[in-house]
Amino acid sequence: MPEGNRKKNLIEKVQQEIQRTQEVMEKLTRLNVSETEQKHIQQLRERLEQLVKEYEVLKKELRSD
Amino acid sequence: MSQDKRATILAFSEGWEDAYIKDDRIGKVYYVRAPYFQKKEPIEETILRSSMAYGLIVPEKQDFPSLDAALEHVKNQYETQDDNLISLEEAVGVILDYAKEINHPLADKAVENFEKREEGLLLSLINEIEAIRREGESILAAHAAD
Repeated sequence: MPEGNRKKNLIEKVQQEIQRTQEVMEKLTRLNVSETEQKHIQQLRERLEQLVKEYEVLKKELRSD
Repeated sequence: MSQDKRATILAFSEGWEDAYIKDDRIGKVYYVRAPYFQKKEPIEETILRSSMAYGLIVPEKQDFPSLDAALEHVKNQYETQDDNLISLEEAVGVILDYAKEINHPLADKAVENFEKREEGLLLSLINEIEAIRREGESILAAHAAD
């Protein structure tokens, strides 16, 4: 597969994975969980937000060739 | 001066806003960009060698007692420049495009290395995000069984 297509596919995969994970996070907010689980979920949410920010930065910097 | 605590500025970009600095203690080469001096990004030596070979980076070899001293020097040099900066990828991209344009014998290899680096970053993101999703799904599954 040409490099440009491979990179495009990877970008699409990242976007899909972000969407799927955000949907899971949304379901988790509606769950009645213990305090420990709440903390765990909060950590997951914060990590996801951080990765999304990293992705946005990376996307801007990727060469568009 | 102790030989195990030295850093070398290998090259500056023409506007002084980018620099390649080698930490001689560990033998790693870092690319640094003015607004992000605290973020020292390792870069493939292949790209560095290619960059210098193509002559787009101005070699200004200088020795410093430490990596921090070298970074401080770059920072001081930068303060007189404007903030019209380009990113690591853009900087390397310009170099690689030029290499392709002049048919440099190492151009294809350098481009390949750079593409692999980008793909590696994307793959790493996919894996990390997927791991978060799976952890979330396992919590959901545990509660579904309640």
